[in-house]
Amino acid sequence: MLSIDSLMATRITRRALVRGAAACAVATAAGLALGFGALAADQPRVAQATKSEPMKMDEPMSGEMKKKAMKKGDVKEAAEKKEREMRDILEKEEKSMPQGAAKK
Amino acid sequence: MKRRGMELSLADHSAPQIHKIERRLFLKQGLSLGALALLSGCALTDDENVQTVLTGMSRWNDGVQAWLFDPNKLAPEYPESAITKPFPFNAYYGENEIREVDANSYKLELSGLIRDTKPWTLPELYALPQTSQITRHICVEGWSAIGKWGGVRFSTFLEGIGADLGAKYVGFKCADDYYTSIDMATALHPQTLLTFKYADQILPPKYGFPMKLRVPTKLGFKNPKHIMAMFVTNTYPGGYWEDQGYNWFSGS
Repeated sequence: MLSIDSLMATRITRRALVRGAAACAVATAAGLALGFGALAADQPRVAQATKSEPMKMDEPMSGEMKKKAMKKGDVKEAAEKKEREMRDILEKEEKSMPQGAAKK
Repeated sequence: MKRRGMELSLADHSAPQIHKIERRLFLKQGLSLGALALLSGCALTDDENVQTVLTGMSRWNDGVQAWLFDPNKLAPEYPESAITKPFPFNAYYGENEIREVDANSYKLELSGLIRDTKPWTLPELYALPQTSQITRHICVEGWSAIGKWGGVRFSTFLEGIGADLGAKYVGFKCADDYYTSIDMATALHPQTLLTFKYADQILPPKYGFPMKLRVPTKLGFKNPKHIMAMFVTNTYPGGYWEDQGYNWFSGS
């Protein structure tokens, strides 16, 4: 048969263990939070920038340089057209150059 | 009497100089007026014949501006105290739509009249000799702002890659689809920089990460941001705004 004293001792020990476990959990959580915070602070400036949204190509352009009805997507279209126009010319010019490592 | 004689002789000497200055001023003002007329002309009519004439005039205007361009004349530089804070963001899209470029996978592509077209990574570019300047960015929209940019002299880079320095044009393709080109004389100007920094910090996305060409002798739209590729050519490559009727040379 267990005495009252031994029952009390068991309860006290159990309570101390539960409290200890809770304190450990809190300490671990705080440590993890601090660790991730420090990692985040080490990220380069670029990564800290506000996440960009995809460009809305059908929307009117910003700024004062645009003409009426110009849309953001017009720049991409014009760039692709220019790329097609210049591709062969640039290839031909590149072939006309003596190739090889230049000084750095 | 002696003093009067000195004044006369000074006047005699300065007369042709003044005449020369006035002639240059007249030419410059005439060109500015011409450019203004061209810009307003673009909005006045879309008639193809008129557009052809205006484009021809604009190309002639480019030639005259290139002829007047002094490759040794420096744009004014300013003290740190003159820097505009915050430096304005300007693009054809909103600040929330800036294209993000991945620094780790970034490679600058080269093509055209270049001997060594090997792509360049950012660490390789950062290892080039760096310099900085505090200059005024002048926008065709009518505003200006002073900023500090750091990077490598573009002439050093062009020499390093074995570019044909006798070619006519250097063109740029950007991550935000924008494209433009400049004349070789401007590319070799001592203040034309391939910049990687703004205010001594790695160029933030809104100012053109990973790289912006800073040309203080030209208007803002001739300063491409987020450069992904460049080429050297003898064929006129135009540019996005230039193809819409804006003057190609656009000296500031």
